Amino acid sequence: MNVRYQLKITRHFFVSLCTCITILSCSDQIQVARTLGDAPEIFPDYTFVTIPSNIAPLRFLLKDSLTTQAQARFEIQGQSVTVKAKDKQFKIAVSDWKKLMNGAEGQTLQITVTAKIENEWVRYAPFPIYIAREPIDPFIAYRLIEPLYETWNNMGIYQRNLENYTESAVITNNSTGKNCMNCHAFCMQDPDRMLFHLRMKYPGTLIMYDGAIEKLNTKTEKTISALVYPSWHPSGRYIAFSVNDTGQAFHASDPNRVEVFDAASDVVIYDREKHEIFTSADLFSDDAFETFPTFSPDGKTLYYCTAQKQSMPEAYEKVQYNLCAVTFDPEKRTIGTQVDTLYKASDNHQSVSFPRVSPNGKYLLFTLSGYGNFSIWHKDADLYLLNLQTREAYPLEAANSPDVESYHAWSSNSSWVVFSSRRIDGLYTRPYFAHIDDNGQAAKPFLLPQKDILIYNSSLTSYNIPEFIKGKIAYDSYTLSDVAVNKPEHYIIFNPE
Amino acid sequence: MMLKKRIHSSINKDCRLHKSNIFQLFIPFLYWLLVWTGLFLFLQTNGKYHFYYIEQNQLFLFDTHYIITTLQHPAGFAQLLADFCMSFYIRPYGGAVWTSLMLTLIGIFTSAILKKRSPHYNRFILSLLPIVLFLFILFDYNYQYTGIVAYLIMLCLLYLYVHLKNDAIRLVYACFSTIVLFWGTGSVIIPFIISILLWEILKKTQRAYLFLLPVLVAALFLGIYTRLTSVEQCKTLLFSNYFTEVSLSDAWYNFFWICMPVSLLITALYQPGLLKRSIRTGLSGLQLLAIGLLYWLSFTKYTHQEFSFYNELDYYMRNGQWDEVIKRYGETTDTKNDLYDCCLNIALAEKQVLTDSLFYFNPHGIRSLYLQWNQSSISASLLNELYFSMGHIALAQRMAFEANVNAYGYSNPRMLKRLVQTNLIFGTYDVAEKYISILEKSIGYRSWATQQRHFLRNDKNVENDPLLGQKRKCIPAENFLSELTGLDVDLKKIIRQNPAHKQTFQYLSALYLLNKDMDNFKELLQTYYGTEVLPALPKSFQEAVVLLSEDEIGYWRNFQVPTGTVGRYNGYRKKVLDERYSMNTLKTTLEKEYGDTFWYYALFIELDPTGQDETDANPKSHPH
Repeated sequence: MNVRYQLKITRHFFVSLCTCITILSCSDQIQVARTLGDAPEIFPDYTFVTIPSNIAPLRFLLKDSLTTQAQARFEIQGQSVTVKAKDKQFKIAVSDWKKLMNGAEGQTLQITVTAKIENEWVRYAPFPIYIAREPIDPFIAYRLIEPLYETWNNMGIYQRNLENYTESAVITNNSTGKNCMNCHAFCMQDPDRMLFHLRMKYPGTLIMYDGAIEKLNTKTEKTISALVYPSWHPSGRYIAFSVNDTGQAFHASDPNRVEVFDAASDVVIYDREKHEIFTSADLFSDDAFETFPTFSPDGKTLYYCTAQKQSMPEAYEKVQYNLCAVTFDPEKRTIGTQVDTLYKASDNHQSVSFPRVSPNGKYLLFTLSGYGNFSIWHKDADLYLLNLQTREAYPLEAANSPDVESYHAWSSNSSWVVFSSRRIDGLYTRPYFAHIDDNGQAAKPFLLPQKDILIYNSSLTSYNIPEFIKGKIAYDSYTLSDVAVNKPEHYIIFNPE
Repeated sequence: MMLKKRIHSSINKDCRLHKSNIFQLFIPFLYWLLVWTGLFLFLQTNGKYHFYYIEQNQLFLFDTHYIITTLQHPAGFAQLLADFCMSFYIRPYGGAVWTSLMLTLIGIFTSAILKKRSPHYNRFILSLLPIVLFLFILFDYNYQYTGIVAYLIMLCLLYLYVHLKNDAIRLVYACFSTIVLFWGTGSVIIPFIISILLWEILKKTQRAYLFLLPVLVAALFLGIYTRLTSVEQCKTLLFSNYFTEVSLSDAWYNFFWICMPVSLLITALYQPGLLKRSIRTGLSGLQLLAIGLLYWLSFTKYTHQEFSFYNELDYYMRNGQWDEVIKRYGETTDTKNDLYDCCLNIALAEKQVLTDSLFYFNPHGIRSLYLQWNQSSISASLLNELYFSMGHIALAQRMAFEANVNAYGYSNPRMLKRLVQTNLIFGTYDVAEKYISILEKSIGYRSWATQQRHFLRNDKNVENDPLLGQKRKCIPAENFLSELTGLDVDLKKIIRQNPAHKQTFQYLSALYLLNKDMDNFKELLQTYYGTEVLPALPKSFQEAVVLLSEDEIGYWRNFQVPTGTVGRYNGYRKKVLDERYSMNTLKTTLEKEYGDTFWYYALFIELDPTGQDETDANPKSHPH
């Protein structure tokens, strides 16, 4: 056998191999027997949602139980990518997604799903995903915790890169003796200025400010509890807090399961430079419950919720919080005496919780439910937007669902909100993102994308208090836990002024 | 001829060698077979119900998220293996088979490593040391099985290590294994690197100091791990109590971490010519004595007889074997406690004989019936059963949740089952389906979970089911906050909602009787006597009614109390009056004859002065 003959054989082999590969590739050309008029049922429901172009790839699952094979074609601006389903899940590659999203702001991504059902291929109606012009902040922070009744085991504060799937722990309670950690908050979405509380073991509040960390003992003789719900002043000098005497009880037959209530509450402002808290008569009234303070982005107004005092827990259903505001002068450190009631929910037998002002100062987003302030356990809790110029309040219908929508936060460009919703299974809160347009209208929200979307089925933890941040939190678990466990704490004082 | 003789001699020699080899192989095989059999019998006899009980602390799932999450932290691989093994503990003999197998393997590997160190040393005694230490620590509820799996993996790698002849290869292997062990099995790197170092020193390897390299590798990884997490997590990881609840760790757990290095040192004493035969024999005797002492110490420290009986009752309760609960409770000679009593009373209520038999088993107060919630998973688990039996589904769900949160591993399968049931009862099908999907990925609960799909989004199927349907009827039409004004008020509402659910009424009346709350008992009697709920008076009621008749003469006639009961009371009363000046003698005398009556209970059992014997529960707790 000479060399030429061997080369010929080799050439024939490669030609045959290429032909086989081509034939096998051609077998992907499916024969569609039927075209359906409806878009497929998918999980999460990403149909007709509006997303930012810098979001991680949206991976989803085909819900049709009869499907044996499926593929999805992603098309935008003349480019297309076809993804085969693996276990009914379409896992588009990160690189393909990035290519599709490149310069796609303001465009529409069309997705066409074709599925083999009972031995025939059917094509569903394509569904659009709208790409907003505005990007989203690259990170969110949240607490992962089992939806609690009373006890807990593992919990931690995590950050998630929204542009990919990376999640990392900021701190977990494995580093702090399995204690409770909660109420993480940021100053204007700045990852360098944040705080969170520790309860039970090593109790206190950790305040991180431009690289420095201090631990506070926030109990005083004059306040009913340690500091609770926070809101940073945009200057970073002040932080408004509520102090709450909180209890909880368990419903016998109500779908809401748990009732969390305040038997008393007040609002105070912490001066970070002087290590002292101060307040005003309206914020510290014995006749009313005041809670959920939040500063306006210009720092000149302090919004909060207030309700007439009731005998608790017996009258828990009668507690209805209104949205109020007082002026605040950061230079003189004075709180206005004129209380402005922006939204009197009690007139409609409703209750406001978690007011949050958009960074551009145009809107105030809040949760509205039938009563009380712990709306995360209220099935009727919905998101409402208050136009601060017109003072018109209206529901964010596209964002709401029949189940709970509660804790929420604004992105730094005021174009996106993230909120907790129990809409998937009625119990475990998941973070949803909704685009808010210039007219204050929400687009259909989308669920936080995951590398494997089935994580939502097997995870037994809730995403608690989702907050946008403009970058990655640089404080690490080692330093934070060292301060929490070993460093002496500052005692704050109450200055009645 | 000579050649023939030589061949014959050679064959005989071969045969002798062959016989000797077979003998050498057979003896260890027989020895370890005996050890395994002994362990199996011991564990099956003493730990049968312990295995059933601890099985619920860990759950293995064929689920990517669970596997990835578990592997992401140190000792994750060992935990996965432990979770997998423990999935079989719910089956008869499963716990004893797996545990004895793991312990025997630990012994075999220890023996093989020691043999390599000193071939002439009879290492069979010393190789029992880790077995004895592990054997009893495994009966400690705070200790996780992940620890034993991690130790076994460490021994496997150490076994391979000692069989590597080339020093350089051994060094590379040791470094690599340290990294693997660090992430896969956690704190067992400590005995591993110490053993390696000791091995090389005892072996007098040239440049043995090079084998400090694995120590440096371990230090490096620990440093990185500490910097990425915290000092506290690193401290936990370093010690064997990594496999326990942090808050419940015990210095004793670290004792067996030095087991292998100590064994290696002892083996070194048995080098030929080092010690006289008599001293060696004496040392072997000392070892045996030390192991015996450890056995005794471990046994007394970690085997809690009273809790093992609770495990047995709990097993029967979990499987609805109410007759077995009552029978075993009656048979035991152990001192009774609240846990036993609660199990018994649940069984009596489920058999609908609680009010008949309430005083038969000498209750010592209301806590015999209604356990205080002390935030432990044991009390949460038991209260879940108790509330479920009462028909208070919301609180049963709450307690199932509390117990599930405190599972060591991913979840508590038993509580997940209960959460499936409570959510089906409430009609919250989406979350029920979530739990069903999770259990369908398990080994032991798959078929049960799939069967529950029959109820999903099908109210008719739920209502027609004997268990779920009856419990659904207990859900009050009008909502209230549970235990806000007392458990008794809640139970009254449930009775009004579902009078056919006899357990609720039995519990309510038992609460009043045990609390000697005669006003509420009387009101209950007058409300329900002659109705579907209380067509006739059970024994304890008759006794209480007769006692009430002391104030209202003839009161008992309104309730058709048998004359026999009245007559027995008269006898009781006479004895009390006759001997009223010597109460201690009276108590002893009456206990024999009237110890099973409400009269005796009312007179001699004092309620808890701390006020815990009240039906009111504090509704306040801390939300998060």
